[in-house]
Amino acid sequence: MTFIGNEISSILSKNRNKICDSWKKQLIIQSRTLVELIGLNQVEKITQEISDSLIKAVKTINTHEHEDYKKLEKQVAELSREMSLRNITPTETAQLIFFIKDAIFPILQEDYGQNSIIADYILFINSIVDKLGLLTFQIYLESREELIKEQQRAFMDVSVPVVKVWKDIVLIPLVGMLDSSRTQLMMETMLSAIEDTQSKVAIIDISGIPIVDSLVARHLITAASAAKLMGAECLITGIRAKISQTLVQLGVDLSGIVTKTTLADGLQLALQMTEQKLI
Amino acid sequence: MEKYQDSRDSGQGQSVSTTIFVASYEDVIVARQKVRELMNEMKFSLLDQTRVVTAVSELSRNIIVHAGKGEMTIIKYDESGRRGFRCIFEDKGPGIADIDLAMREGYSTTNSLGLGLSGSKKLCKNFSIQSTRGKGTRIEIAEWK
Amino acid sequence: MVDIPILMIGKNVVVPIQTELNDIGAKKMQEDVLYKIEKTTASGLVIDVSAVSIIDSFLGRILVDTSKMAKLMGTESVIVGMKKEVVLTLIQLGLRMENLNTALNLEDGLNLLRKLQETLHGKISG
Repeated sequence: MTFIGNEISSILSKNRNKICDSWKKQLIIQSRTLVELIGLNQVEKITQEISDSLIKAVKTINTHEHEDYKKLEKQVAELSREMSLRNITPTETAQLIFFIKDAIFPILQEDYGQNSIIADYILFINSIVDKLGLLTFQIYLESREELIKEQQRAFMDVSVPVVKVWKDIVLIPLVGMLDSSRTQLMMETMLSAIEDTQSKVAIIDISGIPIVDSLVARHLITAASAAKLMGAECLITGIRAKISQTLVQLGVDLSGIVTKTTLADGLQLALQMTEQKLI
Repeated sequence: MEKYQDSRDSGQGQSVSTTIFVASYEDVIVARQKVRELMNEMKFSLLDQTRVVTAVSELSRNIIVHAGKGEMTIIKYDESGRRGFRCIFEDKGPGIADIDLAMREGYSTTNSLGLGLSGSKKLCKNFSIQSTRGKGTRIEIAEWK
Repeated sequence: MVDIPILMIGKNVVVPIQTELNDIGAKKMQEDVLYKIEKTTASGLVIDVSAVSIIDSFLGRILVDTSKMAKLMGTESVIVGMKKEVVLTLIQLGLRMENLNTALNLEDGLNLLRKLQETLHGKISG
């Protein structure tokens, strides 16, 4: 069989606007939710970009320098990722690609309806578009797997224990890294504990945090102000020499928060604040 | 913008939409209650509810303060693979001259705290804004389970 | 519109916000509270928000401002009972309420006021 990519490319190229337009119309009729969610402008952009890439790609698809096809694949993969971020289901994304057939086949039918070569043309387009459709699925699965792994990792990281150490005093010992999602969980757990036990003081112990930079400091300040808004005082303990040096050198101002070097000092202060004594 | 929204009223789409008018401070409360009810029904957590309803409060107040009146449309999606809703705040007010500036924390044209837009954006995972000077403003937020 | 009850407990004005306030209602509450302070020369103010499920930037500002205004009139104030969801939302929203006195509940709030008044008194007599 002789290579028919060049011929197909020129047919598609001649009918480029017609294809884009009819593809878009298919989507509006068949994938309403998708169009609704990503907007008509975006749909228009997608149909145009992919049509153009396809027209280029079919020319060289059988050669070793099929750079244009690689580019098309990359484009489709990117699209799939973007769609999954926007809550488009994988089926809808795949359909989005498949509907280009409904735009191309009638055009081939019109021009080559009587010619037996049309069968080859259709098979040719079919195999490319099917591959692209499957690719969207594969990318979707990969991104899901990535997400699951990330969540598992995050789950290991984010468990935040809260201990009620004394009447009116809760302790949150932090171990590991403190990023923004973990800070969020830490704050939720801390506030729940304060609310449930009506504790007046929360001690956040950061002895187990290896690196305290300005970002971590900002998270701690946020947590402290959250406790304050609820009506509890927040102490931060475990500020070692190294940490205090770093913070001052970075210009981080923690002066609004009571800080102590050791947890023991913090606990003592907390007892004083709640007017309690160790007997 | 082209209208393709009709599909959701035709009964063929899987989404259900409700529109309420926002023209008074009492309507802000109604808007809040509507979103609260929906989120409660869809079993969003209390924290999610508080977060989003606060944003709804800011955005519907913005309509009143800047445009006098407008509307909020809630579109609910309840199908396998996609549960959640979108909330669209539309007005035909003066529009925003410089969206980037308006989105900045602390920027205000009305001596408020300037947290309405910037704050809502921080509260909502999906936030988009379109505005044309003299034509109006359209802000959309979306929450998915 | 339902009026917010404004009570006196000892020499303190206590305001339990029980209904969802719209902006006009919130403004009115501020006025009513300040008027009450003026009339009674109360020494403290407690605003109880434990039944409030939404505090947005407007109501947040009303609370901060009312507290500042009361202070100008010589009255210390405390906001009590803020729900944790509300706190987390306010933090995310970016509303700063740094100089606000807060307490877990009404009882703690009244205790805090007593301490603040003692400190103030101590300063004057000392």
